[in-house]
Order: sequence, then C-alpha cells, then structure tokens
Amino acid sequence: MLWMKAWFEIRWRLLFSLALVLSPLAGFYLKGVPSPEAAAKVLAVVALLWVFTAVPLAGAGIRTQSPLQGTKGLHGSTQFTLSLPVSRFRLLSVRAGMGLVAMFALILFSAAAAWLCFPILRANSTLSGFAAWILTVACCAAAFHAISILASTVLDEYWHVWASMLSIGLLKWLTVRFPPPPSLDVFRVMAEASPLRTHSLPWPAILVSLSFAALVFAMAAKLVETREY
Amino acid sequence: MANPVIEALGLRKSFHGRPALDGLDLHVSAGSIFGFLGRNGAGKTTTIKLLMGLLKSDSGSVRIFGQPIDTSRKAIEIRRRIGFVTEDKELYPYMTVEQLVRFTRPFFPTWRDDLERRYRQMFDLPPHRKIPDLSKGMRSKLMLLLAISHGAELLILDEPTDGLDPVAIEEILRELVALAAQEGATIFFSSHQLAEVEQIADRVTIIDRGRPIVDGLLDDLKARYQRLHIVLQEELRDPVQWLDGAVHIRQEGRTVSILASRNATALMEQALSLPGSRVELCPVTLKEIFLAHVRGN
Amino acid sequence: MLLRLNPSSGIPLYLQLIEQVKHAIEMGALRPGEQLPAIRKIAEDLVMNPNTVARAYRELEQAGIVEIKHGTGAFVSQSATGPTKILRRAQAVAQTAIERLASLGLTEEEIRRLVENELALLRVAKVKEPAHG
Repeated sequence: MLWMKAWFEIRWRLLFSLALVLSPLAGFYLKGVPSPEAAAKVLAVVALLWVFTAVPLAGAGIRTQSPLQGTKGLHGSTQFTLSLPVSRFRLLSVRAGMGLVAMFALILFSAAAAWLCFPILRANSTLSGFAAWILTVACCAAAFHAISILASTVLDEYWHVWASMLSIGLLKWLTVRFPPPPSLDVFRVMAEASPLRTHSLPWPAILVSLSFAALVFAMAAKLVETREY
Repeated sequence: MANPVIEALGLRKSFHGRPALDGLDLHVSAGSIFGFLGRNGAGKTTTIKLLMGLLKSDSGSVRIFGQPIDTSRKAIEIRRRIGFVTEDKELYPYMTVEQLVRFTRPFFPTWRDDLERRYRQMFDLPPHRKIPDLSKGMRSKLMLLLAISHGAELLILDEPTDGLDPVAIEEILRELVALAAQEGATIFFSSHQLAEVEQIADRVTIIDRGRPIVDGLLDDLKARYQRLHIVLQEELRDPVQWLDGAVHIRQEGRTVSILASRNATALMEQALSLPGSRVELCPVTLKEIFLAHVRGN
Repeated sequence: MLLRLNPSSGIPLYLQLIEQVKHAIEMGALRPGEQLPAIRKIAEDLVMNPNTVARAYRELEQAGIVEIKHGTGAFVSQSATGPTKILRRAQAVAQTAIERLASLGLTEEEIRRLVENELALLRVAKVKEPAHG
C-alpha cells in the first residue's frame, strides 16, 4: 500500500520529468545531429537533465506531497502517515525505491528514444553497448537521487528542492572547475565517455556512485528516525 | 492506578526556547474517557504529538501500554492498537475516500470489517470523492472511521468533533461511549466543546500555558467546586482574606461572588461571619471552572 | 425507563442518575425485583460515560436500593418499597415546612433557593476533601 501511495505522489512528476528530458531531445532531433561531437553534446545535456530529475522524483521523502505542487510547509497528512504502525525506515525506503524505479524507467525510455532517433549513436555501438549505457546512467543517477532524499529528510517546505538543485549544480560545477580523473567523472561517464563510445563499463564511476548513494541513503535513514514533525 | 494505558510523567517541551509544556503528568486508566482541555496554544496539540511519537520530550517520559513510544519496533506494535485523529484532519490530497480506506486497512491486522461497514453507512461518506473535496466535518468523520475501524484499544483524538453539526456530534459521542462500554476502549480526547466533555468524560485535565491546573474525576470536581453568592449589608472597607480554596473572587459593590475549588463549607461559614451577610451556594459547570482557571485573573 | 440528565447543570451526573432511578422506583416505573437496564445500554442511550453509570449503580447497591447479581445484572431490591413509606413521612415534613415558610411571606422562588442552598451544603459535606487539593 505504501507503493500505491508513492505512485500517487510520483506519477505526474514522472510525466513532467519525461517531458523535461524529451523536449531538448526533440529539439536536437529537429535540428539534426550530424557529427559525433554534436552527439556528445546531446548526451551531455540529457545526462544533466537526468540528474536533475532526481529532485522532483525523490519528492519530499516521507512527507506527503501533492502530485503537482510542491509541499506547502509540512502537509498535515504527514502526521497521519507517521501515526501508522510502520517504521520510518520503511516509509523512506519505499518512497526512495519508487523514486529509483521511476528514474530508471525515465532513463530507459528516454535513452531508447535517443537511440532510435539519433543514428549516430547507433553507429559505433551495439545493443549491449546500449544496455551498458543505461546501467551506467542508472547507477550514477542513483547517487543524485540519494542526495535529494537526504535533503528532503533534513529540510522542510521548499528548501529541500533548492538544496538538492544547488548541490547537484555545485557538483557539476566542481567537475568542470576541478576535473576529476576521467574514470570518476560521473557526468562525463554518463555522456561523452559513456559505454556507447568506450565500449566498456566504467567500473570506478559505478562503484563510487553506488557506494555514495548507499552512504547518503543510510544517513537519511538514520536522520529520519530522530526528526521531529 | 493499575496498568495505566497512558502514563506521562514530568513532560517538558520547548520550541526555540519557548516552553510549550512545563511539567505535565497524565494517568489514563483502561476504559476511561479522559477529557483534555485547554485554550489554543496551551499545549494540547504538543501533548498529543508527544503521545503519537511525532515529537520527543525534552524531559520526562511517556509510556503507552507500558512501553515508551518512540520509533522502535515495539512502538510500531503499540501503534497497531491505537487510533489517532489529528487536529487539522488533513489526509492525502490525491486519494479518494475509498482509496484511503483501502490504503489504511492492511496496516492493521485487527481491522474490523463490521465496524467499517457500520461507520461507512452512518457517516455517509461518498466513496469516490477526493479528499480535498470533503468538508472539514466529513474529514473528521473519515479520520474517526479510520481510527475506530481497526479495533483500537486506545483512541487519541484531537478535537474529534471539529466541524460537525450537533446531530453528528451526538452520533459520534454515542459511538465513543459505545466503544468504551462494549469494546472496553480507552478514549483520550481534547476538545473545545466543554459540553461534550462534560457529557462523556469521567476524568478531565485542564492545562494552561503548558501546565496542568485542574485534574480529577469530573464527578468529584463538580461536587468540590461551588459558587458562593454573598450579599453584604454594606460594601467592604477592608479586603477580606478569604480562606484557601477561593479560586476566583469578584466583588461589585455589596455583592461578592466566589468560585471555590474546595473548602466551600468553611468559606460559607467565613462569609456568614461577615456582618449582615446572606450567602447562597450554587453548583458550578465545567465551563465556569475552565474560564475561572484559564482566563487571566 | 425514561431518564433525563443534564450534563451542564453542575450536579455530578452519577448523582443525577441515582436520583432518577430512585424517582423511577417511587413512581412505580421500576418495581421491586425488576431488572434495571444494563450499564452499557444506559450509557449508550443517554450518551454518557459507562464508568459514571457503574458508579451510580454501585452507590445504589450500597444504599440497599438495588441488588447487583454477578453475571445477570442489577435488580431493584425487595426492600425498595421502603423509600415509599419513608417518602410519605418525608412528604409530611416538607408540607409542614413549606406551609410555615410560606406563612413567613416567602415566595416560591425564595423557598426553592433556600432548599437548594441547604442541599448544596449537604452535598459539599459529603465529598471527602482531597489530600493535595
């Protein structure tokens, strides 16, 4: 039943996120993607958008959230949720889980759209390359999703939205300003340096992302136990 | 008290340095209907949130069914036995009545289909209406339905009849009384409707500014509290040092009105000792007790 | 049994209930040996606290007006006809007193207030003063 609730909270956000990601793709499609460099640009834009959809998809954590508007303060029904005989950990896990599933579906769908619409992406790659790409993106995006979950646990009202977006933006800026070793640059790994071109799974980036995601989620899970509502 | 259902000792809670609760004790025994009264901002909702485990007290302890209510596994088991109605009656804005009931049911293995059917019929809630489209009264009823239908042993209700008309209120009060009588449920409720508290509560606590100021069996309070109407022959020149128990004293010319919380007989004798006085004793309503204690004297 | 209680009158509900039961017996609405409604039923019908009803029943039992048989319920005791004899005597006392008060020039309202006052004193004297106040 918690999954049903999470679905209610996420479905329009998923649609919105899908529109957000597909729009520039449509733009690129109309403009045309003539060269590998242009393709790399497309991927970079899409990767950044994927990462930012972590914010609407993670939602407000265990707090109730209206499907379209953000949370106006603490929605009273959060008290109802917290009065139920279910652990806060489970509440958070299900919501985070649904966010991840939605994110994965979004990535799969939009990546498939890109794959079909831009022959240049198919040129140097195979279906297994495509699968590797999806997997990479999903793992890296999970890290940003975790950040959003943590923000929603610690902050109230709209603050968690700004905090998440700011954090993600800051991380992107940092990777541009102080470029990390290429194998660890998750942004590049999802885009220019993706398995579509490198034909191999970027294990360092994947492992770092997943560990980071697990760690951040564990922090959120610990914090949610003691927070007051 | 043998095995109190709710036992709170020395509860203290401050928000940003401002004390909301300043030393509250609560003892609610099984089968009792406990009325919790206070002005807005006196600390009622803070207390109820502490009982629900939404807040943690700065000091003091809360035990429900003998267990502390926190986020532990045991506390989750206890929540299965408690039904809550929150103050603002907010429920999920994206669900219909039917969906919300379906959502809530699986959390409670002791769900009573017979009770659910009974209240669905009684409260006449349109099953496919979205919750934000329900009136406040209907949301109160829906929340009550959810709280009662899982066979809760303890009901913690924050203003359960908020937004309801007198007929609906009487219905709800009768159901609460029936639950106490038939199922042996314990009911802890806060309300601004003193009349309804007077009607069904056996014990009351009045809090003001985070502190309990009146506490006891309602029947005993009503017997102890008396109003003395005193008419004097001439206006008092020197103020009288009234005996202990005079809670609220009002003097207008040659009449003095005293609300006594106890010692009414002694106070009456004291009043009669004043020259040329005539004294009358009148019973006191819960409203008078409440106003005398919480209105700044 | 038709009962009417006033929760806002200031008089404890259990006392009101005791009075009403006694009155019902005097009026013949309840006969000796007849069973009183279950505590549950009265609580639900009157929408009042079942513990309060139980207290009234206990005090009625202590006063010998009612007998509680475990498992079956509460029954008007056989000796409850006693109150009716006492009541006739009491009626004579009240009649004399009121005639005398009326002859002093007191109005009905004044007499009523006098009597309620004395009753209030009696009620207050009955309640044990609590240790902590």
